[in-house]
Amino acid sequence: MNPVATFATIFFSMILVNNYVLVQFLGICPFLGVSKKLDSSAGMGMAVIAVMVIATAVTFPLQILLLDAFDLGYLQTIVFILVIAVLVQLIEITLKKYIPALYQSLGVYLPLITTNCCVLGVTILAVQDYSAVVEQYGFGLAYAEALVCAAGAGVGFLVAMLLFCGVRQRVENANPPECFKGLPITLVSAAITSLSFMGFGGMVENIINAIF
Amino acid sequence: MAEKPSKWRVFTAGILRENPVLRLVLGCCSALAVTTTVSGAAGMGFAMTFVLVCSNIVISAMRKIIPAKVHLPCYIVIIATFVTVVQMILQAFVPSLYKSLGVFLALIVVNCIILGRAEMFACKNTVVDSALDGLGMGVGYILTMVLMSSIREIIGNGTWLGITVIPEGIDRMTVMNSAPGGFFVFGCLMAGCVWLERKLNKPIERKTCGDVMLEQIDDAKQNQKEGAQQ
Amino acid sequence: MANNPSAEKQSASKELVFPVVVLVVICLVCSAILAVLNNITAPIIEANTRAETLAAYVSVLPQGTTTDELTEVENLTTANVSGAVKTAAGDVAVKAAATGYSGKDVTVYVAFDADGAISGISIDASTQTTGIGSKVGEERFASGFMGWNGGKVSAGSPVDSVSGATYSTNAVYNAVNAAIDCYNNEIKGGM
Repeated sequence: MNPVATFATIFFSMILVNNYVLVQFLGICPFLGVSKKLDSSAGMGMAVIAVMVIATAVTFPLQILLLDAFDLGYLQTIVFILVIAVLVQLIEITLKKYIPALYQSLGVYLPLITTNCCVLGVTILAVQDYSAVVEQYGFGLAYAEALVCAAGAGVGFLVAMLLFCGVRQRVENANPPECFKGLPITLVSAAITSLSFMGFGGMVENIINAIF
Repeated sequence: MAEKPSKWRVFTAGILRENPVLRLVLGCCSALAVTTTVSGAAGMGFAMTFVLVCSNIVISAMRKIIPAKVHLPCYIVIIATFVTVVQMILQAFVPSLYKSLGVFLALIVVNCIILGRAEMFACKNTVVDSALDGLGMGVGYILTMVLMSSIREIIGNGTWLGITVIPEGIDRMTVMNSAPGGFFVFGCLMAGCVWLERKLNKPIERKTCGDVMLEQIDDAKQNQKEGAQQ
Repeated sequence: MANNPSAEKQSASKELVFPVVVLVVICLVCSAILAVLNNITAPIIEANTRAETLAAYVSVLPQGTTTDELTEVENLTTANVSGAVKTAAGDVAVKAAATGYSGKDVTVYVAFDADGAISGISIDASTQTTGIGSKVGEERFASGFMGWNGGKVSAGSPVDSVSGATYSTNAVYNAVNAAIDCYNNEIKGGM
């Protein structure tokens, strides 16, 4: 298959079909809390994209070239979470020192991302899904696919946050039954938002097929 | 501490008063994701309880040794170790459950219930109290998970623990098995919980970990602004 | 308090070194525990995986076959084929996989009878999108391959693709073709 088509399919299906928040239930905490405000949702989403891509860029080779090569696969969970924690710290320090403008806008969100399950989730899933590709097509392509997958997952998170932020502002003005006020009605509206994403199933592969 | 709560009270706190899922709103990711079948939900519940109890015990036993500066990485390593232990045991002895839980088993590491209890309770209390707290939280988690998965499995699949309870002739609402059904059932359960609280005249304010995040963001932004003005 | 500078330096370094030492010690102890446990569970996990693969072979082979009578065919070189077994009666089962939707593998087990016709097939499409790509794992689709003995499979011969799931269907065709290739080139001749 044409690699560009593969990348496009992976990227767009991570956003629309396998959306991390709305379909795979990863990163629900920030989704329910932070989506109250538009600017915070956007900032959080951007920070998550950056951390997801960088974390996958580090953990994927680490797993394939180090852990798997030395039969240490069982240390995956510990190694990944520690790497993510250290990475987030490093990104924060680097931004603060060299790109203060970016630190101003994203620095606030970074410390909150360490224990966000979508970041650990994407690193583990990328290894799970694409380590078979390493055997078939070599490390380079598998690495590229894993990175595209991570970027797609991040953008999917951002899209879900922004969309839901809009939905939420409408819900907040509505007048639901007493016992549904607050979190329950938020969850029910999340259900409807997630239902709308089910409509994308099968669409991405057919569109990409038609183009390539 | 002014007055020490009794051991029994510590244990039961997690089941109703401080039910981790419905009252403290911790660990929603796994509560939504693995509740499509009762067996998966119960399995996840037990795995979570094991990690919760073990990590609470170890962290409270080491609370005087772990330096404050690196307490978070230390907790994470300890929790991740127990998660890996559970992963290995399940993969070896209950491979079907290991497969159905998938990535969510590893994600117990970042589940806010465990890290939350480590920071809120285990690092300040004795080993026995921490173990009881973990056990109570775990039982509360299991009960909620089983309740939620029962609703989803019966409506979505017509079965309970694999046993057919709705006759074959009636169509299943398969949407309950997928993501929207998860959000919907969780929302309705929480609404039911709020309704009960109102009936009993004991309403509480629910604060998800996301809300805490938003507060932290707002605070940090405020600080930034003040820093810029000075 | 009259602190002399060297003592201050010492306490500062102690403050910095102590947490790192504790963290490293915890990491080492944890890794050691896991290494021990891994040594215990790894053989069991391997045995499980093997048993599962054998059971999957048996499920596609003719009824009455048991795992004991399978002999594994070794040194297979066909791309995408990860293993094969044969029975005393001359039936062969091949395990093959091919990339489906968004880079994820679809695995198939194909059984051939002594004449080389497909006598059983099982398709594991659990990696594909639920409700769309996963349809290729359904009995309806799989049963279409039964009895096929006409060389390579493709859309329409013998089974039509599942609509809306082109990638997953193609993955099944590719995997089945790999199995057929492997059977024709490596196993049939050697029997």
